[in-house]
Amino acid sequence: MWQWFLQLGSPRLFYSKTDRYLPWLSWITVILLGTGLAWGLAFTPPDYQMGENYRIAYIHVPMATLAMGCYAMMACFSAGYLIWKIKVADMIAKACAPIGASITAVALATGSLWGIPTWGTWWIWDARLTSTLIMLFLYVGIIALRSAFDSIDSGARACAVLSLVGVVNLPIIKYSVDWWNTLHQGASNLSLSDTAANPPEVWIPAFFVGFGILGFFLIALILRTRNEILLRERRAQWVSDLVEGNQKESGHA
Amino acid sequence: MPEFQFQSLAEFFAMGGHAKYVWSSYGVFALMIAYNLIQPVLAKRRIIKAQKARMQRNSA
Repeated sequence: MWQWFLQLGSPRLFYSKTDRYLPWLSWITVILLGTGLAWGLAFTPPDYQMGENYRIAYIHVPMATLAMGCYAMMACFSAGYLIWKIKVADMIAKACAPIGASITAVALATGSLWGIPTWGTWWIWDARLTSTLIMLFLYVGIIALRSAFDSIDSGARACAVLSLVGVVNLPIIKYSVDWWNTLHQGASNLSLSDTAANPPEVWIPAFFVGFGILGFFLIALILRTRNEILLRERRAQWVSDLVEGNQKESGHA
Repeated sequence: MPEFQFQSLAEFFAMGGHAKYVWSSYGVFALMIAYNLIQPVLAKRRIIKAQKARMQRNSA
């Protein structure tokens, strides 16, 4: 396990290993996401208060959770880069930012679309909405900060520091619904019993969607990281071999 | 077994009057997925193309 983890720290091994993982990961993701979305959209009973509108929650909740998870991951890899100077860690952190930004944007957009008929407003400056918007700005700020540096290393260090500072926002988002009297509802407790707020016919498809989205996130993250590896390792012999191999393939086609 | 919750396909698309909210949510979600998968594939093509050009310049 540890050996495997250390090998992923080498750009070349990260590239060749993910080459093998990607097809499997893609199939699992397609199956999970396809099943979960169809189930959530058409095969679970409507909510007794919100009617069909609650089906938005099947994407809103995992999007919002993943938006925070992605930030936490970016911060961990940033710390890994600052402490151990692992280059792949910085490349993964760099890949997290645009994906996290788009996921946060979807979490906010779906929340607004849900809010129009349910709350009667698409936006309110409530603690959870505001702190999530701040996370979107953090993601965008990190992307902009990196593009402001010519040197890869300086940009990486600056982004790592900003990512770590922004971690303070994560508990604020998580506990905002407990700390303040927000319009946004608190977390639903998922329980195995039928009497819970969310019975199994609601949360089982939610788990399918959740893990499917996690799979999508890993695929998107791996694809971006691989591109970053190709760019930064372009002077390495193995990249030249890979490009030449590509040339041969396209020559046959 | 879970059952189809709507009387007809038309009712399914109507989403109990919430069609525009539900479908635009899923639409935004689908666009986000598409962007995050297509962008890196196109970027990879660009990188490989640029690298090929660089290698040809170096060997020439």
